[in-house]
Amino acid sequence: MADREAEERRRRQRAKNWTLVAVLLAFVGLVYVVSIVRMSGG
Amino acid sequence: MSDLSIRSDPAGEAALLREGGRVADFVELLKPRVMSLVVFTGAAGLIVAPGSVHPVLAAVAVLCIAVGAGASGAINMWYERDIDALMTRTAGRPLPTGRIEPAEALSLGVMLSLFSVMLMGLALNWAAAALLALAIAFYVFVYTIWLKRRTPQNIVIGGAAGAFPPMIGWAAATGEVSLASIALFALIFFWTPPHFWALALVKSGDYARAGVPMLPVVAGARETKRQMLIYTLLLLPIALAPTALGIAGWIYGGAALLLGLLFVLAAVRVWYDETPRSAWTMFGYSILHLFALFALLIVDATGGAA
Repeated sequence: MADREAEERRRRQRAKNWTLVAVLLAFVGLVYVVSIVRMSGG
Repeated sequence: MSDLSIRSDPAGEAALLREGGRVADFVELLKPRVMSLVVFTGAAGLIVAPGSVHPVLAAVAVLCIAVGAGASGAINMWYERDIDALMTRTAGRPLPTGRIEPAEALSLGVMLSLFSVMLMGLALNWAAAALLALAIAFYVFVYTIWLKRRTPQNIVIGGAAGAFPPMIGWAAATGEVSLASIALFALIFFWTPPHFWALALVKSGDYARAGVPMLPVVAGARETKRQMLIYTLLLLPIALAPTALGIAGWIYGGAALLLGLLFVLAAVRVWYDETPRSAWTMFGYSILHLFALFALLIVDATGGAA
C-alpha cells in the first residue's frame, strides 16, 4: 500500500516536472518569437 | 480553515493528498470552461477593433487574456475553498477535495497573474496590460473578497470583471479605450445578471447552505425573476450599440435584435414557470446567446473587411 502511494506520488511529481519544463520552454520560445516580430516592426 | 473536515472518505482522501495533485487538477484550477467564453469575447474585441495586429501578437494577446482569467479563477478557488466545500456544484473541485494544497493554488494564481500582465505589456501595450491587471484585481478583490459574501448585488457589480475581456482585446489592438469598446463591455455587463441569476434560481439551496447572499436566497424567486426580466430588456438596446456605433453592420444588428427578443422570451417563461426547468434552460441559452453575439460581431467585422 505504502509502495503504491510512493510510486503514485513519484509518477505525479514527474508529470508535473515535465509539464513545468514544457511551459518554461514554451515561454522562452514565445519571448523569442515576440522579440523577432516586434523588432521587425510587427 | 481545514479542508480535511469536509472529506467523506478521510483515509482515501488523505492518501490522495499524500500523492499530491495531478496536472489535470492544476488545469481545473484555471476554470477552463469559463476561460473559453473569456477567450472568445477577448478575441472578438481584438478582431472587431480598427487597425491590424500581427497574428503572432494577436495570439499572444489572447493567450494573456486566457492566462489572466485562469489565474484569477485559481485565486478565487483558493479564497472560496470553504464555501465550495458546502455546495454540490463545487464540492468536487481540487481544493475542497484536498487534491491540491491551498498555498499551491494561490501561488499558481499569483504567478500566472504577474506572467500574463507582464507579457501583455511587453508584447502588446501597457494600456491592455493595465486593463488586464484591473480585471484580475476586480475579480479577486472586489467580487470574490468584498462583494460575493456581503450583498445580493455581488454579480451585478462583480460582473464587470467578466466584461473586461473584449475591452482588453480592443486595447491590445489599438492601445486605447474607446466608446465602442465600452459598448462591448456593457454588453457583457448587462448580460451577466440574468445569466447568473438563472443558475442561482436552480442552485439556490446550494447558495443558502454556503451562506452566499445570492438574490434568490435573499429576495426570493419572484424578485429575482423580475430583475432578470428587467436586465434582459435593458440588454436589448445595448446589444444594438455596436451597429449604432459603426463597429458592426445590419447583419449583426438584426440578429442581435432577434437573439435579444429570445432572451426576453426566456425570462418571461422563467417568470411564469414555478419549476426550475425554464431557469435552467435560460442559463444554457444565455451562454449560447453571448457566444452568438460575439460570433456575429466577428463575422460582421471580417466580412466587412473582405
